Amino acid sequence: MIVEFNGVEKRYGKTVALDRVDLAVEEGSVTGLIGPNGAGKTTSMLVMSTLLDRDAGEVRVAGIDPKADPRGVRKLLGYMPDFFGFYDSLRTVEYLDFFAAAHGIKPHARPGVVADLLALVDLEDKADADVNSLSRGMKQRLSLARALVHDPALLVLDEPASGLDPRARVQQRELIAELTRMGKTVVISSHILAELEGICSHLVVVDDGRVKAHGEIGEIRRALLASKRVTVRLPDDAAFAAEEFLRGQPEVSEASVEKGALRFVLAGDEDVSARLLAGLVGLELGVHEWRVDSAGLEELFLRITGHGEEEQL
Amino acid sequence: MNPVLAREVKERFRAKRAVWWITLWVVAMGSLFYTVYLLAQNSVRQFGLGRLVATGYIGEYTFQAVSLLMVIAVVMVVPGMTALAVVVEKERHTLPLLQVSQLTAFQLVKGKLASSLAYFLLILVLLSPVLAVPLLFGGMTVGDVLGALGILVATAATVGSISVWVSARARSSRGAVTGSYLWSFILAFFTLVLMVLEVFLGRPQVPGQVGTGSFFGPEGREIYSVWANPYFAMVDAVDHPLSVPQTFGQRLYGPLEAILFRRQAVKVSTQGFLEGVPPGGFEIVNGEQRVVLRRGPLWMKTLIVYALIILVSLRRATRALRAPAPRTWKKVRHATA
Repeated sequence: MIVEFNGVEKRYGKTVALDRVDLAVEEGSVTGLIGPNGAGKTTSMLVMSTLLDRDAGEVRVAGIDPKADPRGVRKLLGYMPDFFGFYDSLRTVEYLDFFAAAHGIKPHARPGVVADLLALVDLEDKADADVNSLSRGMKQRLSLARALVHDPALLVLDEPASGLDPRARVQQRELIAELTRMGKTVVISSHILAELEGICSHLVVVDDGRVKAHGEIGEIRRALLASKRVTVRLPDDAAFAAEEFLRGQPEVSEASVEKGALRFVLAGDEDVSARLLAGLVGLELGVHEWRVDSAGLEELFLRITGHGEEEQL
Repeated sequence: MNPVLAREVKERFRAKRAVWWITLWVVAMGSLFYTVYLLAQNSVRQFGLGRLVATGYIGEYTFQAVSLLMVIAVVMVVPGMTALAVVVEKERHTLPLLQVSQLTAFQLVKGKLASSLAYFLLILVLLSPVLAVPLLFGGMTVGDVLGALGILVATAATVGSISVWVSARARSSRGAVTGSYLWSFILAFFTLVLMVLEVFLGRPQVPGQVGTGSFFGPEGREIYSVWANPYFAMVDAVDHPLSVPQTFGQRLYGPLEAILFRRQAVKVSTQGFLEGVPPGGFEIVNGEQRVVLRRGPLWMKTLIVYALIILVSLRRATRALRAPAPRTWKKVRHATA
């Protein structure tokens, strides 16, 4: 694990920002931190990035305690905050050169590093442009290049897609995918859950300063889909007979007929689903459609945060 | 080279206003110098001084005026150049980016202070021909000029360090500028008010006598409130060791010199005439009549005080910029509550 939190607590006055948070980020993964505003995503990122100290608990980044050896952690970590931080009077190339120097890269190596980064984020033609003149999307890419200037193993990206237009989001997603191929571990937070869907391998759901669920994204989905919503379309006169049949099954709950469609919650795997479908077909009720709803990140998030207790996976 | 210093210098000197500022400075100081020269000439005519004495007097008078004006300039300009140093990083959201780099908080503070002082030192270097003109007139020595420059640089470093600390603690530019100027004015002017209070309240009460005895008494006395004052340090550094003035007439250093002489148990008029010297109060060194010093040079005490202020300010500023922020007792108490 490249990042580990054990029972981490952080308070701002009386507000509990992190409440006994346990989480682990696997090396080489893209871990999405999702949660509503004030859930504790940014606080978690600040703690792992050495910018904020926890009140209690243990934190390790690549086995290093950020409090005991912050500079050791900073060598391994690239941080991109949820705001732009720019020196307006510098040119793009000077901006990256400055941060390369701040990260201790020797003067003779800097031009090469800067050129490579500009190529990576596709800003080569803007090398001599004033930072101030760049578009928002370009600034975000420049910000990502800055976070990569010392070739860190771990990237912490706080809301990187916020305020970007659709094209810039696609570019950013491709960039993150490229970084994953380069072997980087990425921790990324976002409100735009659809943004994380395509790029995250792991998920940490945070709400009210607590981790509600964390693990590999497929595992979370499978665990949650142990109880999934099923919609069955039948001829109007057959719906109530089907409802009666399903109410008699122990795996079925919340069955109801709405606008000619029968809806219910199924607690069971694909075998159970197939058995019930076979039962309905056997009754010769004329099943037109049998649809098991697949939950996206939005629904996963709503389902998880809708639960009172933590779901450890 | 410190990356922060390199970037700040690049940014500061790239701006067009830097050229204007420097030009304005040189023109303003040149004009002031010429005005002071005219005043000195007028004084020469008034006192009817001979040609040889007059040139020395003009040199001394202009040097005293320029050196005191430079102290005022340091107090007025350095906080303005330094107060925004760190707070501006907070306002443009670049501070966390620096904090997660390999730069230490102290390197950051050092870079900020050095870049602000570099600008001031450049102005000082550009003005050095103006400062050196009094040497052509005579009445001053190279040592006097170096002493004055030393005090100017020490004052600038002290005011700059305080401003960096205020800037590191401030949440807004306005707060940083206000706080920096407040501290600067305390150092330069409030210490003078304190001196008046110290001298007034420290008078010995003579039984049966209405009013007061002399604060200094026959043996002289240390004045602690001016240890941090740059004007006294300047006069003491230029005058040291206190010699019997070789030129007479209106002296800009006069009022401060009078107090410095009294500190050494010597009474002197504001025009430089010694009025009362205790027995054995003079010695002849290299043919020059000098006051026997009963107390160590004030400028040295000022330098020690300034060194302490610089150390404390830089330490505080470093602490304010350290990430993660060091825990305070208040935080520990809160966390364990």
